[in-house]
Amino acid sequence: MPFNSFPFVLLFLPVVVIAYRAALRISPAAARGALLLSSLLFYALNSWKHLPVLIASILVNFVVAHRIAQQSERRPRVVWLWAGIVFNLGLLCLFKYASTLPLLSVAIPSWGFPLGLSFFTLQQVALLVDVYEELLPPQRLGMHALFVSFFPYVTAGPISRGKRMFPQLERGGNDRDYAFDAARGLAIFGMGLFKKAVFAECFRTIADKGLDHPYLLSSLEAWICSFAYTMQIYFDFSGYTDMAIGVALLIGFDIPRNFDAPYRSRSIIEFWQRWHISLSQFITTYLYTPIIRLFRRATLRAAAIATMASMLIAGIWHGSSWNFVIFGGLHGLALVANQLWKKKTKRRLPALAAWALTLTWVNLAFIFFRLPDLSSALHVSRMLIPFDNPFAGSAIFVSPSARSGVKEIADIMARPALWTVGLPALIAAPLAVLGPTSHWWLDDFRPTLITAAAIAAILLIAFLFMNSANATDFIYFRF
Amino acid sequence: MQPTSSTSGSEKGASVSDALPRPRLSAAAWSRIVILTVAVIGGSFAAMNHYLDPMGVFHSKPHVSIYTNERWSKYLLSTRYVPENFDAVLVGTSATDNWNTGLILPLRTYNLSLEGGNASEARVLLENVIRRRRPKIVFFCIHPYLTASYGRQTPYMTKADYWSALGSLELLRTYQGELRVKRGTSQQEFNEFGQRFFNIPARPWHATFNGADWYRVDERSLADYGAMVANARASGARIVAVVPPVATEFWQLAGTAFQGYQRQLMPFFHEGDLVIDFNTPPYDSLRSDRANFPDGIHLTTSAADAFVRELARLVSR
Repeated sequence: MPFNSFPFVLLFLPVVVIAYRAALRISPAAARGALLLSSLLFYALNSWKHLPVLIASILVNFVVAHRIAQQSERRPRVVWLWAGIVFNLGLLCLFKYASTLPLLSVAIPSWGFPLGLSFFTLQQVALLVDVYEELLPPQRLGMHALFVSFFPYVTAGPISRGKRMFPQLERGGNDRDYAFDAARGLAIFGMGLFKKAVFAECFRTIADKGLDHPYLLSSLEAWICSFAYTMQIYFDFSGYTDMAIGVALLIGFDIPRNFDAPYRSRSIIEFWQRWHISLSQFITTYLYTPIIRLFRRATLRAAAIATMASMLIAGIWHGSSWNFVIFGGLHGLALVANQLWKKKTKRRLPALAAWALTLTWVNLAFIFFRLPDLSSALHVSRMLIPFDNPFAGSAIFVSPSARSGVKEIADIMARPALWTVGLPALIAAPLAVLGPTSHWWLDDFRPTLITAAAIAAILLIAFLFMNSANATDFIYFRF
Repeated sequence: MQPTSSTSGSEKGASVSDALPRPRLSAAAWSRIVILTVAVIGGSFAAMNHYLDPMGVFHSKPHVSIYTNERWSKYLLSTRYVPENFDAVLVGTSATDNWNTGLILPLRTYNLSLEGGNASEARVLLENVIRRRRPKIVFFCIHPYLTASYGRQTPYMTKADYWSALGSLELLRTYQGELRVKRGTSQQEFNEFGQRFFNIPARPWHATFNGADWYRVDERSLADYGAMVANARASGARIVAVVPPVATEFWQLAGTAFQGYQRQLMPFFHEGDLVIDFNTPPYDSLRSDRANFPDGIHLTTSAADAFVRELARLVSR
C-alpha cells in the first residue's frame, strides 16, 4: 500500500487523519498512540514480514540511546555509541550485502530487504550521535518508536532529525494553523502524486524501453533514454517526498524537504545542496565531518579525501554492486574537482556551460545507478560519445523496424502514446530545469478558487493515470 | 532547509503574509472544495463508466468489441463477457490470433490468443474464464512462442485492471477507438469473437526462423502451460490441442526442431484429448501455397479461415 495507491489515498490516509485529529482532542499522548499504531500498521501492510526487523531495530536503539545517556564517563559513552553504530550497520549489511557474499549467501536464508531499512537505520544512527553529543536526551519508548516508524517517512525518508521531530511529537504536531497546513498538505500531496503518476511514469516508459536493451542503443537513443531516466528518478523521488510532506502536513507535522530544483544546479556542489537534501546533510554531518576531523589540518587534500570517502560510502549505501560504487565515485570525483576549481581559480564557467556540464555529469552517474551490471552501464556510457554517426542504427529517426527492442521508443512517440507519454515528457522536462518547484509554489500558496481548481484537476488526472496499468513502485523503495 | 512558517495564515507578524492580498477562501473551505470537486467529478466519471461498461465487466452484455490494447481488453473480457457468452475458448499466440473462431459452429468460441503471448499470460485469461463458468472446450495452441518467455510481458493483466474499467487511460482509448470506428476514420481491429485482423508483412522466411532460439523453452513457462491444461481438465472442459500450420518450405527449415518441441508438450495431453496437427500430409496443399504464409508461420486471413473450418469439422466429428 504505497502512497500512490487507492487504498492509501481513499482509505488509510483519511482514516488516520480523522483518527489522529480526534485523538488529539483527548490528549497528545492519545494522538501519539494512535499515530504509532497507524505507522506500524502502515509498515505491516507494506512489508508485514519485516515488521519484526523494524521493531527490533527500534528496541535495540532505544536501549543503546539510554545506555549512552546513563554513562557519565566518556569512554563507556563511546563504547555504547559504537555498539549502536555497529548494530545498525550490521543490520544494514546483513540484509543489503550479505546475500552478495559467496559464503554468507549460503548461510543466510533469503529474507528479502526490509522496506525503508536504509532510512530508519541512518535516522537512528543520527539519533545515537545526537544523544552522545548531548544535543538530545533519550526519549520514552513510545516517542522513540514513533519517531522511527512515523509512516510519512519510514519507507523512503526524508531522513528526519530528532531535534525537528521530537518537539512536534510532544505537542502533537507543529504549532501552526492546522487548517492552513492541511490545505497546503493536500496541495503538495496532489502535486507529488501527479509527479509520480504522470511525469515519472512517462519517463519510465521511455527509459525502460531503451535501457532494458542496453546493447541495442544508438548514441542518440543512449542520450534520450539515459536523460529520460534522469528525469524519471527526479520526478519519482521528489514526487514521493512531496507526498510524504503532504501526508505529514495533513496530520499536522513538518518533515524536511528533500529537493530544491536540483537540475538547475550549475555545479555538483550545488547539485548536492539541492538533491536528496536530507541524505546530503547526513553525509556532511555524520561522514564528511568526522572523516576530516581525522586529519590534523583541514587542507584541500584532506577535504578531497573526506569527500571521496563520503561519496563512495554514500554510493555503497545504495547497494552492493560496483555500479553504486562508481555512482558514488563519479559524484565524489566531480565534487573534488569542483572544490579544487573553486579554490585554485577565480574563473567561472559561463552559466549555460556550467549547467550543461553538471546535468551531463549527473546523467552519466545515473546510468550506473540504473543499469543492472557494470558492463551494460559502461557500454551505455560509451555510447554517449558518438564515435561515428550518432544516428547510426537509430530506431527512432532512421529505421523503426531495424531492431525489435528499441523500435518501441518510436512506438511510444507514435499517436496512441502521444497524450500519455510524449506530451507529459515534453511538459515535464522543461519544468524540471526551468519551472517552479512544488515547494516554491507551496511557499506562496494562496487558498483561492483557481488554486482549488488546479489541485482538483491534477488530482483527477493523477487518479486517472494511477488507475491505468502503468502504476509502479517508487524507485527508492529498493533502498 | 527549514519549513516556511511565514506562509501560515494564522501567524501574526509574518510580513510576507501581511503584504499579500487576503485569500478569498478560508483554508478549510479550500480543502472542502478540492475534496468535493474530486469526489463529485471522479465519482461521476466512475459511475458513468460503470453504466456504459464498454468491456462488459460490470453488466452482462451480448456483444463487446475490442478497440485498443489486446491484453488489457481480453483480460477484462475474460472476467465476464467471455464466460457468459461463449462455450469454448482458444488460447494461443499471434499464430492463432487471426483465426476467426466464429466459424467453429455450432459452438460459440472466443479467441483469447494474444500477439506475442506466452503461457503465463494465457493461463491468467483461462483461469478468469474458468473461475466464472466452465467452458465446454478449451483449444490449446501448441506454438514455441507460448513457452519461450515467462510472466507478464506488459504491465497489464493484473487484478488492478478490473478497476481500470471504472476509468483509466485504456478505457479512454477504448471510447476513442469506438468513436473512430463508428465515424469511419478507423477500421475495426477485432471482431466479437476476439479475432484480430492483421496483415503480416511478407519477409524472407529465414528471418522468421532463427534456429535453436526459436524453440527455447522457459521451464517456468512450460510449467504454466501444464498447469493451464490441468486446470482446464479439472474444470471438466474437453481439451483440444492444435498445432498451427507452418509453410512447407518453412517446415523443411524447422520441422525437426518443431517436432522435438511438440514432444515436450505432449505429456500434458491425455489419451482422450483431441490433438490436431495441421503440419501433416492432409494439409500439404494448403501449406505448400506460399501465398498463404507471408512470413512462413502466420496465415493470411483467408487461409486461416480454411484451417478454422477444418478445425470445426474435426471437433464436431
